[in-house]
Amino acid sequence: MTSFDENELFSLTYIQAVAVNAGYQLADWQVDDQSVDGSLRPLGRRSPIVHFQAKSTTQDFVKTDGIHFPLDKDNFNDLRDPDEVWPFVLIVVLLPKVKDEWLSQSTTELCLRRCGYFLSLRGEPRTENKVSRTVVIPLDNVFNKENLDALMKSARPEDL
Amino acid sequence: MRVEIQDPEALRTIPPASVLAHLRASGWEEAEVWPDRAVVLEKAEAGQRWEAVVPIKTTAPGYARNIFQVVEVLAMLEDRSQLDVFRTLASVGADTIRISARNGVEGKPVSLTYANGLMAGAVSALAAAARAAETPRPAFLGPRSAKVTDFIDHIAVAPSDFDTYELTLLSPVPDPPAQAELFPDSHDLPFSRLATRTLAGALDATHAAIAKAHETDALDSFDAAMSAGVSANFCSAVSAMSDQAREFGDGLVADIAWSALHPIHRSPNAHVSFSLRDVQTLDDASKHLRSRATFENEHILADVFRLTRDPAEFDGHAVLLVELDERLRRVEVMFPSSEYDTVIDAHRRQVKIELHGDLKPKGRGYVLGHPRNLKIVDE
Repeated sequence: MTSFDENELFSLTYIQAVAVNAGYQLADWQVDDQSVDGSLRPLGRRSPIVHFQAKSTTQDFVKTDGIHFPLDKDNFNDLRDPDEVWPFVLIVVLLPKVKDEWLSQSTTELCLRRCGYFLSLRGEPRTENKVSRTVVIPLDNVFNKENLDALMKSARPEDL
Repeated sequence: MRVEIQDPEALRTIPPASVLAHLRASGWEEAEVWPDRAVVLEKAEAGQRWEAVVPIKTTAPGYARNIFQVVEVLAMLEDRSQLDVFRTLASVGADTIRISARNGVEGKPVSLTYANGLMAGAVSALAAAARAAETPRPAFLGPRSAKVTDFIDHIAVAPSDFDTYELTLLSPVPDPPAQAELFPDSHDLPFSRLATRTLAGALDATHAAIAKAHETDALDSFDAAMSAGVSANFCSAVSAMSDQAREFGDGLVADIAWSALHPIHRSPNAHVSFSLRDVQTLDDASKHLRSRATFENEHILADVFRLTRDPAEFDGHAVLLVELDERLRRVEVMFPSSEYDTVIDAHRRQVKIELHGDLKPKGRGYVLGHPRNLKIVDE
């Protein structure tokens, strides 16, 4: 397993932990659909759904106005697609540079270090860039219960 | 089997119209439309209200997942495997023809011979119905038209469970022209629909003609059934399939279900069965109809098998060997005196001849009337 795979798996675990704690679950679908890495829905219910693409990085992309994350151009164009039925967001999980610091555990707590952020790109213009497009994720967009609740509430079109 | 379908490429092949047609036909009701994005349908079942969100744009990044979600719900509510639901959705745009052994009992492996026989019989029956859709005739001979060949080429064999005796064929129905709300039942039908409709009519008419034949001990009922698409070829094909199914049950059952995307409002789905007792009647009907046929202006490629007299005393009467419908048949001809030399030369050198004429069945072979355009084919 490469460090890249470990990063990806860890980011999915992070997303799942936050989601379950907020009352949502990762749909156990093995459908590898374009840029969609996973789909969240309320525990015990089938909808609404929030699709996501998960990214993780140990690099320091944080600036004062947000996280400047270089996103593959195909992923960008999928995420901005206004035809998608459900919210489809980018979730970037920032990780400590040293792997041993990603997680710490004792008999009283389990700690996943640093933080995940999300961004909706729906309706942005397509990029014609050759490789990637840098997106800026506001630091308020923490992937947490409050924001996930809000995303789920916005899933139906009256709020989209 | 409870097989799950998770292949995004396969899921992306299911068009939204097919999903909507299936849901509506299954009692789901439209609850909301999310403009340019999705149609939401609902159904009350098992004490709760279920929701299916059908995406409209197949290019949307989550299309396969969103379709999968609908498949997942349907599989649960209809108590079927996801693969089974997927197959249903994949076939919504096609007329479905199911052929199976009547009263077939599972538990015995399906042999290759059985499957091959059933398949060959189905191709013959479909081709006979399609040819009748072009022009009803008592029998068909020679190559199929391009239209019929195209129809047969586009029939797909639906995958079936390994232990079933059922053959499921899908005949795609093209979309009607954009301006037509629903294409009428009898005008401007795509040929594939015309052919499957003729197939359904021919199955019904054959069934009724058999009952009448048993009642009257005569085969006249098949003459009347010809206009509904019944032909010697069709009777032979149904007979062969019924006989083939002997191994598993008492005859054959054929069902036709119209595409839910292109329903036929005035024609119910067809369901016809034939028992082993019908096989002999079908064979007799086939011979009866073939004896009534004349195949005009047929192009013949033949070997001069025999001259009825020595060349010196040749009176024009010859027997040709001709391949007709993949079988070698004897064809009797009386040539005019102007052609004697050509016929004798072909027989002596054992080279093929070609000619046109009107074929009429006689016993197991044929008689060729009005032979013309005779020439030797030098290979």
